[in-house]
Amino acid sequence: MKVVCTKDNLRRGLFAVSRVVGSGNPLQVLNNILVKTDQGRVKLSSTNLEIGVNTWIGGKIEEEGALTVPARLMNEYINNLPADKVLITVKDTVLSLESENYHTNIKGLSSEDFPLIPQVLDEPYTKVDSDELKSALAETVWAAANNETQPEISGIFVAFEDNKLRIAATDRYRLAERVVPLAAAVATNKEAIIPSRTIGELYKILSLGKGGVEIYFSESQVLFKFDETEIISRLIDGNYPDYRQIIPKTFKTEAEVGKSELLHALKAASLFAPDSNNVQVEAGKTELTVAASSAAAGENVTKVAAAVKGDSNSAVFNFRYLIDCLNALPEEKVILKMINDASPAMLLPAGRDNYLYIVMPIKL
Amino acid sequence: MTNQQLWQAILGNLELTLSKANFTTWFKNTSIIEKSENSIVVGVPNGFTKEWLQNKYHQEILKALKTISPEIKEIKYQIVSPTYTQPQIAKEVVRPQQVKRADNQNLNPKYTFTSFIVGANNQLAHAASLAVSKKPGQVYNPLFIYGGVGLGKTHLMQAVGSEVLKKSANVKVLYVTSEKFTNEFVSAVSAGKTESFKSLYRSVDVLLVDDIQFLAGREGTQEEFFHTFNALHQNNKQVVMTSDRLPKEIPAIEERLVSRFEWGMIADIQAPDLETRLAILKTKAREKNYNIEPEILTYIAETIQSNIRELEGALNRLMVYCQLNNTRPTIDQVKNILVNVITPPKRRGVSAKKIIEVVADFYNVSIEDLLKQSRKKEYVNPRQIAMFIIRRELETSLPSIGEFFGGRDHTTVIHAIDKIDRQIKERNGLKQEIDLIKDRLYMP
Repeated sequence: MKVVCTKDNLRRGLFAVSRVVGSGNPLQVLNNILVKTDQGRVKLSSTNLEIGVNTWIGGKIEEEGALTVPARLMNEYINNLPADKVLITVKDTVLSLESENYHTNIKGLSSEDFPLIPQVLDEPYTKVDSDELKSALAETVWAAANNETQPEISGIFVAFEDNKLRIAATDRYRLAERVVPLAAAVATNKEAIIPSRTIGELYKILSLGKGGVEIYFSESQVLFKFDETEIISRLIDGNYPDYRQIIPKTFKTEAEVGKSELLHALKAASLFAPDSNNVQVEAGKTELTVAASSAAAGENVTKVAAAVKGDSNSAVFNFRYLIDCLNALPEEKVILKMINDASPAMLLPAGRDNYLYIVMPIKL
Repeated sequence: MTNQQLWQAILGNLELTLSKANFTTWFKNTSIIEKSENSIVVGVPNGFTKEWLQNKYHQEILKALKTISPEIKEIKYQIVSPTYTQPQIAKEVVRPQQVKRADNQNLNPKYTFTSFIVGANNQLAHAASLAVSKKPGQVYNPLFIYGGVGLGKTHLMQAVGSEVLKKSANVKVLYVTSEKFTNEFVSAVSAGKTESFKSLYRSVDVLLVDDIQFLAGREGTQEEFFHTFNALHQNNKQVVMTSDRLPKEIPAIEERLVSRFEWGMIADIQAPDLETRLAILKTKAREKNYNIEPEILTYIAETIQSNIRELEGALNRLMVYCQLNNTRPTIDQVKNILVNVITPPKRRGVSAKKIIEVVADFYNVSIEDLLKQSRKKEYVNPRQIAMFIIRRELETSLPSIGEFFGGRDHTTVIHAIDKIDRQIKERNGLKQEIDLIKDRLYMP
């Protein structure tokens, strides 16, 4: 193999693939990325046997070939390289990188042993705008459960319905849901649960460009194609809880409040709830009162001006659950809706109806 | 042959030809999910495995399959995911209750007196245990059972617990390994909850402590155990302990504990004699509804002498083999099948260094103590035992053993070996000690 690439192209490609490696797997080759010439371009691939990533970068191919090299080593080396162009040559199981004053030989493993990344051959199932998808993921994925004992809710739920995509995540105590328009209506509706790790990689790759993301489904797998990169992942098998039934239809209290003011109040209160995480939120006539106290630290009460409609109300929440959501929303105003101290409460961005966040109060 | 057995047989075949990393990566969580007259469907956990098996290992799998079921010509691969129950969204957040300790859940229901086979080797221990289970706290308190690996100490001890519970369900029986006792004590101390630890252990009616020799060298735990023991003993609560050696031979354990262990009844379990081994095999075969020639059982009993666990293992291996191949074994076949069990590849992985480490650990001295020139009695004896074992197990030459132990003369080594040889005949416990060391040496 003999290829000349720009460093920026290489770096971009490595950024997409270098994290999906099978660390801890006894199979050595899973720590490597596959570098291969493919129809006039260079293809980089990596996999941890749950997720596979392929990306193609431009370069001048002088001789075809393939080899796998350790992902971390290659990535860090290229990132530190001051040169503009790199000449990549492969001889037996050594990959050489030549650029101006830098001469490097990296020991690799034969490409024969690299896992075959499954191919999805069908037509794309649907297409969605990358910016929409990216903002939707930013507002939902952190709400998923981060333990593997309940695999279904450790993943992100996606439901394709006609011309929109519903994305949801929950850890049983809170729930985030966002609706995204699809570029084209789907022929048949579909639901799936995608592992959080896959979504994390997808999110990272979406930051590399703009455009449409093509989505493909096959036998218990999903593939996202964006720019010159594909991510293929297994799906989580199982039934996602029917979360729609727990979303309350009506509320007794609605308070519109400035996001950063509420965030500051919660952060102040959080210092006084070091063990319990419990913060009391009370809606009065014209303000929200955020309070916390602990035997060890003392107590704190903050009032935040708010436009309140309906009854006075109060409930205790885990402050982290509220802060997570407020941090994710770009709007300056949010609306907090409550029923009583034992029923789910809702947070919404003001003036937008494609997002909702449900949080369960803590029953003392 | 069930699908599972067939797949196990195929995997057994493939394991030999593939590297361990490859084998575990690609064949983990695979199974046969469907089998018809001339084809099978192999369930795989993900798309990567499917691609790899289909494209790289298909020929190997087919070949392995042909040797077992030649009529099957076709293999398909299908992704199957494990299924789980659907989680529900909580209606409200309720703080988790502290989990209450469920009593007596850790007794193995298989370990009862009826399933224990009595022979000359364990008569005393069995009789004492039976008496204790009838009148806990009143006859032999504490009861101390000792003997080698895999001879049934834990079985007897748990049988006492189960029997007591059978008579009256509201008696509190607590079974712990001394490892667990130590860990719980340490975490109780670090969490500042020693009181609840104390009250837990001091409120039981029957306390069963397995492998008490692991308390060696743990002074704080020994002290706590000493107080627990006193509290229970004073209130006539039964304590049963097991160990792999006599109380006074446990190194680094406090004198006052040793004297307490020796208070009640000390019963030993020896390796079973031929008749007992045969009886055990017959019972096990009957339990498993496995019809087997008496000569074969006799052969197994004759060849596996020291360990009941191995005895059972050999029988299981034989059963699986016969079911897989649907044959009744002949004596010659049995010899072949059991060749690994009977002459395990022991020598592998054991070096003189390892022996010294194990001996040093057993007698609780440091490795340097064994190698340096000190003539203190507590070092000399272990040193001679180490030399003896190295000579017998590895057949290392006398000068190189001397070299190993800090350049000693080969005559010193001869003297050591002769002395231990002589002592084995004279002193009763020594042979058992050496057997124990060997057991540890070859423990996986």
